[in-house]
Amino acid sequence: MSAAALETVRSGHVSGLHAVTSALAEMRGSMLRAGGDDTRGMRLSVLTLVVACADRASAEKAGEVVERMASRHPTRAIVLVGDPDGPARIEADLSLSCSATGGQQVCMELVRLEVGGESARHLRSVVGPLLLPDVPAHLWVVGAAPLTQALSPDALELCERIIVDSDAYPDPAATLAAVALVTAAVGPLPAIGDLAWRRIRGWRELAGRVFDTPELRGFVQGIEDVEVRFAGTRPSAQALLFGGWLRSRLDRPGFRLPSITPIPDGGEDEGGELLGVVLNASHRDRRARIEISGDATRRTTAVSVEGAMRTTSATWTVGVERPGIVALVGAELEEQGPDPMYAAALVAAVGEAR
Amino acid sequence: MELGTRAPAQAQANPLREGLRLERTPAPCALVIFGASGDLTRRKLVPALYALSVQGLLPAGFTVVGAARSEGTDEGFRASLRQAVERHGRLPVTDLQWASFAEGVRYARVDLDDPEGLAPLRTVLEEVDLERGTAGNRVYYLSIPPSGIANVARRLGEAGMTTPPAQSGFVRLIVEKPFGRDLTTSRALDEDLHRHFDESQIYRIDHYLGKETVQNLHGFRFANGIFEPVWSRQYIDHVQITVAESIGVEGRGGYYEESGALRDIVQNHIMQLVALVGMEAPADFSPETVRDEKVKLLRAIRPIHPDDALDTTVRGQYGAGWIDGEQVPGYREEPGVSDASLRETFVALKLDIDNWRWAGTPFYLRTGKRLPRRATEVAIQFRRVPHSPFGGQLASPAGAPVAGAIDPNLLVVRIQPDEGITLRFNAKVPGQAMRIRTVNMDFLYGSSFLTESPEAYERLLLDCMLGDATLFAREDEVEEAWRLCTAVLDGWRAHPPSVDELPDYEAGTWGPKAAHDLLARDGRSWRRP
Repeated sequence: MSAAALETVRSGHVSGLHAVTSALAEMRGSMLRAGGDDTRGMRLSVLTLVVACADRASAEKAGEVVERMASRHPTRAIVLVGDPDGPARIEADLSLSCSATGGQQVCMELVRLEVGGESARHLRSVVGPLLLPDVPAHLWVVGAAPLTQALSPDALELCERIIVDSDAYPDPAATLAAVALVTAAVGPLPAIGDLAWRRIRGWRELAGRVFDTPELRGFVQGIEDVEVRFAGTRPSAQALLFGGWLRSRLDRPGFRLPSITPIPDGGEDEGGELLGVVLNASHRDRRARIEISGDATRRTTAVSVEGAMRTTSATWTVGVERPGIVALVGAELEEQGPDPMYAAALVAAVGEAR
Repeated sequence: MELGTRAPAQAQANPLREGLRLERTPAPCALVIFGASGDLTRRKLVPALYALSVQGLLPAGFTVVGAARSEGTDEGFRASLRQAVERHGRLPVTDLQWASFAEGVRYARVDLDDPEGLAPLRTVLEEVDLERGTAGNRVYYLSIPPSGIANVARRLGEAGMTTPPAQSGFVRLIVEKPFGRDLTTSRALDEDLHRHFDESQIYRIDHYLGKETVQNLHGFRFANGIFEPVWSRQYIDHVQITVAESIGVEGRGGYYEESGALRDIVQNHIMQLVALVGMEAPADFSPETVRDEKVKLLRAIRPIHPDDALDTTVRGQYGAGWIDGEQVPGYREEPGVSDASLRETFVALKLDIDNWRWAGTPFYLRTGKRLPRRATEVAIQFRRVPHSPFGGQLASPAGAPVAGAIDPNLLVVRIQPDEGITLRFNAKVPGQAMRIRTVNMDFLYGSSFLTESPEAYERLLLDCMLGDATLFAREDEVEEAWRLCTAVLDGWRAHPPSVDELPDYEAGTWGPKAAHDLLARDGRSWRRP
């Protein structure tokens, strides 16, 4: 959809936490008082998004992403940088931005919060009062912020969903193991959203779709071995999760562990992106080979089925658009509750990586 | 949370589908559009199919076969479709996506006057089965004038093209409204169709049911605990359903002369809305359970005897007037319309529903062309407070407006445009005095869910391919709606207006005075949408 132009209608800077909430209320009231007929007398919010950043530079980038999501997600966003070793302070840049499309006005409150000193070790007490009541709070851990903090008891208690990117860390396998430990310990909530998992969604759809056809439906329970190819040299979270997903869905006698194959010269795809999946399966007296390969713009599925009498083959290509960070995080914000497929894939992936 | 809006999965589930957008995609199939050169194909069907393709919701090997009388080629048909999608589609066309979609576009010339006239189509379909793995699965979409529907069904039947290929395969038929002209012709059409198709193969499409906000009526009623307890005669004074159009007949004068507002809007769209607003909660969301509940409601509507039709219904016809600052002609001045036409362009009627939930709470329905604005709304008017503690502001027992009275609460479900829900309630005006004022709380559908809504045809076409008939009208639903409308038509026919009585409302107004009187007699009034 075409994003509506975002217009910052109020902004300001305050020091201290109490000043943040009162300034936000004042900004909202001031906008409503000044508004014309198209300004509705109510606030629509679907969630609070807390964005945890390692430093000011990543906070700036994350703030831009949040602003680009604003017209789709009426949200209060708190972009947070903590510096426990710095001087004690709480400084906030506030803005109220609205977009109007077809008479519908959607507003986002953006709080860029820098917390220094001892307060930065007690972020729950800083963030808690800023959460909107009665709507979910999501925590987006930007980049490779330390997982010990991102998945700390404080964060787990405060948020309904924690969004991480397990491919952003230098050792994706260890990251997945850490996430798996936390999910096993805390139960279904908070839910974990993993951007690496979301990146492979299109591949999962394609792999699933192959077996929707009546001719191939029988082969899905006869998949024997799988090869997952990815760009890079070290197994990426995407590749591990894809293998884990297949293993969790298909685990049965005769199914061999997926082999994860690095393609060092993966062209522009150095971020651990998947490059291909090969599935070999048998059903009754026939064998099938399914290869899905692709890049940033297209994916091709080639199927060949070998029987006693004849061999048939088919190929089809679909155009794809690799989702950017705005689309990935935006899609996570629309999720509610845990994703049992991810949980199962994660457990299988961690087992596989060992 | 994904509500169970899909039919149960086929016997052998695909474990790689779980947790994805759709638990399953349709089996590969060919969708044959009869009337491929028509307006609906260009404006709605093909843009919807392209959008489904881009979203990856169509099965591999999916193929559209255009079938029409004129000579044509695959290439020519593809080019015309691309133009149509670029002009009418909601998603931009990219070369790669189009190439992927166009691979599955074919054309076949058919001659429905010739018993062998479907042979070219059969040949194309056999090729498609072989090349694209559609395995004999078919959806036939009849985008043709009503008079031709039975003939196509007959030709398909005679050609042996209506039998599903195997136990898990399917052949389905999508039929557009109008489903007949009255109860008799509707039954005759069903009989014609049933000679060649089972009822389970027939999908009667009413695109209103594919609209997100119409589907949201289910969500609103049955996913919230707070509304259902007050959703009855005890708390609701009456219900108003308005389907207002500001346009005229837009060059379709000939068609409209044959149909009129009652057949065009009330029999299908409005009766569906009545059913959705009034039905009991279904035990589950499977097609038959939902449609059973709708039919129960339709059967509970008190029949209108033809002799009483003029007491409980109002028909009207627009004359010249002004809309949006522009002068517009009267109905009788439209092309294709007789200058002495008695055809109704406006209908208002009062329905009584004889069941425990609604007895004594009337449903007032109205639809018309050349009304001041386009609006489709369901308004639930709650009963007034029994007593005002604020002095001097008592409601009248009949519920009629009284100067200074506290307004009753009103819940409005706006289906188009500005989809959303408004709750009107009363609040104290800030100040020393205890003054009460009405305020509206608006929920704009788009402001909370800014995901672009799919077009109604996208949802409906996909549902048909999946074999989910929940949002399609079943034979008995159509029949019950016709039973009511046919009685009204009979009554009108027995008491036609004189040529001089029409037109009786000016374009740009809310219909004839008689419509106002219909509610005034009950001490009520139409709201302004």
